[in-house]
Order: sequence, then C-alpha cells, then structure tokens
Amino acid sequence: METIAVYWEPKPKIYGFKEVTNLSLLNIGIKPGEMGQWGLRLMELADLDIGFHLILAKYSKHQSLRLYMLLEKVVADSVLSYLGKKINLESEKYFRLTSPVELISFQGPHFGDRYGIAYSAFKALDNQGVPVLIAACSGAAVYIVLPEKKLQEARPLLAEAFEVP
Amino acid sequence: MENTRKSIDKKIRINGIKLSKELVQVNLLNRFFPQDSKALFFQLLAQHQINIPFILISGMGEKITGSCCVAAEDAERIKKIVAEKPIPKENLEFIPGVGALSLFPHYSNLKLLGLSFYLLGKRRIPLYGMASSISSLTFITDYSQLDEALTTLLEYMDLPPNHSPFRQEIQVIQKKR
Repeated sequence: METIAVYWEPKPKIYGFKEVTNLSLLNIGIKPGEMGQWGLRLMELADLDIGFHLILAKYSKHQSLRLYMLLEKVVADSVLSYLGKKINLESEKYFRLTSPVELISFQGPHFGDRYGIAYSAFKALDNQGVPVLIAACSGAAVYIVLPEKKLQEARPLLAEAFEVP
Repeated sequence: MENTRKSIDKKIRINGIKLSKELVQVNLLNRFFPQDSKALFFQLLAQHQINIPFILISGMGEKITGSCCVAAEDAERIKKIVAEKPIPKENLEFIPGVGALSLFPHYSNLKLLGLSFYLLGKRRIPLYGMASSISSLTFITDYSQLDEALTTLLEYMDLPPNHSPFRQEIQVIQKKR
C-alpha cells in the first residue's frame, strides 16, 4: 500500500540548535583485530563515568577504523590518564587530541528519510569557509564539530539554511 | 580489565534494536577529494533526490574523508551521475551489501558501545562505520552478517518482554512535485 502525504516548506525545518563549547575531540586509530580490546577499554572508561556528546568510527582502510570521541574538556584528562596506562600515547601515531572544539547539532522531521539535508548544512558552511572537523548524520540528527570559536560563525549560516523555530 | 570481563556476564538492558534494508557504503577518497568536491558530491545526490540515511565526514586529513550509506538501488544511479560530472568515479569506493544495526538508548554512556565493540570484534564481524545519534548507536556491517551480529549482541543484551528487533519495512520516500 502506498500512502502519499504532501508537505511543503520553503526551507528544511529543524527543532532548534544544541550548542556545546569547551569540548575535546579524541581521535584513535583502531587496527584490524583490535576492536574487541578497545571495546574492553571503553567499558572500563564507562566504569569511570566517562560520558560522550558524540562518538563515531569511520572506516579507514583494510578493516581499520578511526574512532572519534567528543568529550567534555574537563573529562578528557581522565581519559588520557587512563589510556596512558594502557598504551604509549607519546609514540602512538594513531592517537590525536584536538582541544578545545565546539559542537552544533540539530534534528528535524524525517531527516533520515529525506534527501538534501546534508547538502543544505555543508553548503552553508563551505560557502563561507567554515571548517568542519567531523560531522555525522545518523537517524534524524546532524552533528557538526567545529574548531574553537567557529560556532559563532556557523550558527547564523545554518540558521539561514534551515527554518529555526 | 579482568573486572570488566566479569561484568560482561551481566546483560545490559536496552529498549530496542532496528535493522535497515540493504545499503551500499560510498567512501570518499581524500587523494582526489578536496573539501569543495565533498559539497559537490552531496549537491549531485540532492539534485537527483537520493537520500543518504547515514553520513560520516572528517576534515582531518585522512585517506577516506567521508563515508555515507545509500539504498542499494541508488548505488548504480550514483555511479552514472558522477561519471558525467567532474568527480571521476575513482574518487569513490563502493562497499556493496552493507546494513545498519541500531541499538537504543545509549544514555551517552560508553558501556553499550564498549560491549558492542567487544562482542563484534571477538566474532570478527566487520565494521565499516558507527555513529551515535540522540539516543541510538548505529553500526554498519555486512548485510549478510546482520543476523549474526544481532544474535551475538543479544547474548549480552536484554530487550523488554514481547519486544523483537524491528526490521525496516516501511520506506519513506521524499519527492519534489
């Protein structure tokens, strides 16, 4: 059965922006075969009450992954201290910390089912040269991680691209 | 780590699991893909009304700058579209036959992710991408291994009574009139 609903909007509607500053972005390379071991480490971090704002793993090559963890800047030290006991961070070329960074995220009706949402967001930022460190669109949500002090540039550009309540 | 291994014996309570239809992952390769080509790629897909239900982007100078998943039936359309435009198809890497498995809620806690990594890693189930959303964690793996991944995770996760994993049956399609 096909159901057709007609919905019109001049720009994609969103429910508002969520903005967070003073964050740290950990970037960890996970080699093939290491995923289970990193799983145990993440569970240990959970036992230390380490939460996250965004977490993603991007396919790198040959079954390796890059794990990005967006954390409160104040807890990044605890994570580094824990990881420092497990791996040699100094010589670990697969480990990188970027801090401070900022997050803007938003969601809208049926975003996961509609074309053009990512383009609207990235075009708005690209056109004005606002750099994006990482971004994820999953479910109905869009997450964009920006370098420090770029949130104030990004917000009005995204507010222009989307209909904000 | 021994304590963590022991704590795995306790099942984690979750509220739901969702499985996608068959998808194709498209990786955007850095060697050919400057930042502005990424915008062009998303523009082309938007112009051709192709939805991208899952996207990961990195501007941090890696070999693969972005990945996205599209419906399996849209992959051939994308190959044709980019062939006509200034994005040679060599800039794209296609991983056919992938699927998404979403668990929720994560409560912004690393336990669910850590357990999933541990279990999938132990069973050598491949992972092509993962991202958190407002309440869910989505894992991209082989479509043919989606059921194995599900069985593996459910050995250590509890769904509410009378609740079974939700398989996507209804497809929402947006079309411009």
